[in-house]
Order: sequence, then structure tokens, then C-alpha cells
Amino acid sequence: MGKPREKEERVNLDGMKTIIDQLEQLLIELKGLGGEMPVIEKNVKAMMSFIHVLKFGVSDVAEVAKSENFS
Amino acid sequence: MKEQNRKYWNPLLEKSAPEQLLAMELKNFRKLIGYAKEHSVFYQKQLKDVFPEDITSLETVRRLPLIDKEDLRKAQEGKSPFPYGEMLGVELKEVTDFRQTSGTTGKPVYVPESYESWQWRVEVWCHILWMAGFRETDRVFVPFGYNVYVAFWEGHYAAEKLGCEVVPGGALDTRDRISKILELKATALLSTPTYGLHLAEEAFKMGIDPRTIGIKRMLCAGEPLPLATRERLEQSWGAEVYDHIGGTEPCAWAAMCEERNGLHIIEPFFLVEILDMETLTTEVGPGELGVAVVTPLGRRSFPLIRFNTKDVVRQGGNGCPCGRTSKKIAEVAGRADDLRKIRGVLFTPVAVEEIVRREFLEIVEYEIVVQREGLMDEITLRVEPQEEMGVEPSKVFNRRISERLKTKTNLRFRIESVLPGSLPRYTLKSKRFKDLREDKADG
Ligand SMILES: [Zn+2]
Repeated sequence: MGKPREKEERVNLDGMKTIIDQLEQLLIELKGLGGEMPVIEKNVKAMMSFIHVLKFGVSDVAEVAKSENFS
Repeated sequence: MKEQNRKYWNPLLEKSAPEQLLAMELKNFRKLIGYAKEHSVFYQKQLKDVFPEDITSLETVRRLPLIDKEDLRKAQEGKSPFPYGEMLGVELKEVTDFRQTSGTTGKPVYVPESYESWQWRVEVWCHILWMAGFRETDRVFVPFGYNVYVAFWEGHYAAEKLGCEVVPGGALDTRDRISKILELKATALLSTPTYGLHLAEEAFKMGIDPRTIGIKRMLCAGEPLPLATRERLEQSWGAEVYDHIGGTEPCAWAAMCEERNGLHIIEPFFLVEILDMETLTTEVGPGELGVAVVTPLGRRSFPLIRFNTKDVVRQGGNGCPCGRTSKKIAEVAGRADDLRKIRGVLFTPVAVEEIVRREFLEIVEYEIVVQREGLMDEITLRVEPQEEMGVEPSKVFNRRISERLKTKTNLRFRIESVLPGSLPRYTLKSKRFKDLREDKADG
């Protein structure tokens, strides 16, 4: 089968995964700062849904690529 | 490099090596088991003795029980929280969208989506639309009121997310829809195959050749789309017509790429097994027919593990000239629910659709009725010819259909012509197959 993602590695998969993790962390912090304010709570929730999608589409790829490199 | 990346919605996934896709699927399968056991009453019971770490390969996946629509009904009826019951995977207050199945095979199943799960579904549809060539420059007309059914909602939100301009075309009659498509110079349609044909038929009656309207692509939903019907739609509209397969419960899980030859499984969003129809225990080989068992891997509001879709599909293997690496299914052969034994012969209505749509363009609508007369099963094809043919197409015409059907299905059909406009026109799920026997002798 094809060589695992030589080209895509150049798009800095690990870098993208790190930023997605950071975004998630920042959103959790923002929610904390917002207290119970609906404007913060609901917008953070919406953004967290997109983080869920990005983990599926990007972070998982980075993780699997990494675990293969170590195996 | 950048241009190459634009060819795919997500090149990271769509060009992943198959073994990497499988690794991601197994990882998320394990996660889903852990999650479902913690959050869904149904799975707390059903997977009591199963643990995420047990799942190390496809063989270990196959040791888990299958579920089907009937299990979902049982987990809902009279169970709390209302109306979703024990399958619900989030707190009820997290549910943001109510959807339900069409109920063509019994009581509808209510399907809850949280905002997160909805976005996950929409992302899957972004893959589907992008593969079908939908782009920011498209003006997409959706000629339906979406109601509680999921497909056009998903298509709408996904088209919006990928940057198309979406025109919801509900609450208009067919002629007004055609006028609106013309007025706005829409370039793409989301439609059921049946309604796509009906729109073209009505346009002709209005003196408009649908090929001149400017629709470049159409994505079909809601019903099976045999090759002959797809070709007829393509000819009628002068457009590229794309198919996908899915359902309200498991989401849309496979779709056509620009090659329009088979459907790509949307990996790694789904773990899809194509299992032997008799035993449901082993995977069939490339070219063989099997039943699709689907696990949507990132949808937590309604966790489904090994859902038997009862869709009968032909395994297609890997590899496609488009460069995508996901597994393919070669064709959708029909629904296991529609497979019937008639006079001892295994029959699927798709076979009739293939013949009618490919070879008898004079027929605008049809219906198949199976009845038992005495001890004998009788199968009748009611055909509605184009108006200009008159009520009684010639005996030669009827004999020609009957002979072609006999060759294709090994069954002798009675052909009955009906008045133009007398058969129902379907917009969502068509019900062209009516088995009126009490004992349906399922195949
Ligand atoms: Zn392809």
C-alpha cells in the first residue's frame, strides 16, 4: 500500500494537532471565565463541536502516524 | 501542492493508507464502546461484559452483537427519557435536533442529535458534497420541505458549510420550483431520484428542456439509485448525477466520487462491514453481495455499534482512479427487507427499476404488486405511459416489457396499463413495491 503520507507530513500534521489541542484548552478556559453567561457557554459549546470534528479529521491522523513511526 | 489539496475535502484522511484508516477506526471504536457503556442505558446492559481494550482487530469487532431497527424501537417504546429511550447517549437537555425515520417498515425511530453530533454528521456530508464536485460557486436548490427527515437538512447545512449558496425550495409546487431554479440560475440540486425525474417531466410539459436550465450536478438522496435511473436523470438534466447511501440512524456512510463508479465508504468516520447475508458472521470478498453493518464512530448522542442497515451491497475493494484510498462498494443492490421469494424465486424490485428506466422511457411511473391468487403468487407491473401514448399501449409493447422482465427476474409479470397521472408521484420515499401477501416468505 501507499507510503504513509510523505506529502501531508509537509503540511505539519503535528503542528496542527498541537494547535487543535491548544484551542480546546483555551475554550475550556474561556468557558470558565464566562461563568454562567449564555453568550460564552453556548458559543464555546458550538466551537467545541468543531474541535470534535477536527480531532477526527486531523488529530487522529497525526496520532496514528506517530504511533506507526514508533512501532 | 495547495491545488492538489483542494481536490479533496480532507486529503489527510482521503489519501491515508488503508491500514492507517483501519487503525483510526479501531481506536475510535474502542472509544465509542467506553463512551456508550458510560452514557447509554442500552449499552450498559448490552455490552456489560465487553471492554474497549478487547477490541484489537476486525475479528474482535465481529464478536460483538449486531443491532437493528427493531432493537432501536424496543429501546425507545415506553422507555425514558421520552422520546428517545435507552439509546440516548447524552443528557436530554443536550439534544438540539429531532429527526425520525420515515416509518416505511413500521413505527418510526426517533433520532436525537446533539449540536456536536449534528456537526459531525454535517462534516460527513461535506465529504460527500465535495466528492460530488459541489463548490463555493454553486447555487444549490433543494426542492423539498425538509420536515423531520434528515437527508436534506444534512445536505443543506453541509452545502452551507463548504460555502455554496443554498436555496431551500420547500412550500412551492413543482412548476414554481422549476421557475425558481430558472429565475435564480441554480447550478446544483439535491433531490430524490423520483422527484428529479418528475421535475424534468414537468419542465418538459412547461415547454422547457431541462438540459437548458443550467443544473450541472445533482446529488440524490432518500431512495436507491440504480444505474439506469441515474443515467436517465443525467440525460434528462444534462448534469452529473451522484449517489450516496445512508440512513437516519447510521448517517450517510458511502458516496460517489467524480468517477461515478461505485461508492467510497466515508472512512474513518464509519467502520463498515459487508457481511455474508445468511450468516452475518464473515465479511464477503470483492465482487460479492453482502449486508452492510455500520458503526458511526464519532456520534455520541445516539451511539450505534454494529448497526445492521439491511442494505444489500456489492463489496468493491480498495483503490480508485480518483486517488482516494477508502474501501468502496461497487453497487447498492437493494434492501434486505425488499428481497422476497415469489414462486420460489428470489426477487428484488431494483431489477424492475433497472429495466423500466433503461429500456422503456415511455413509462413515466410504475408500481409492482404481488398478490396471492389461490395458491399462486401473482406479480403485476402497473405502468403509466406518457400521455401521448394513450391509455392502452399496444399489446406488442406490453409483451416486450413482460419478456424483458422474465429474462431479468425469471418471473412472469402481468402488465397492466393505467391512466396517465393515476399512479402516485413520490417526493420522499417511493413505495412502488407492494407485497400484499399475508405470508411474505422473505428471502
Ligand atoms: Zn474515487
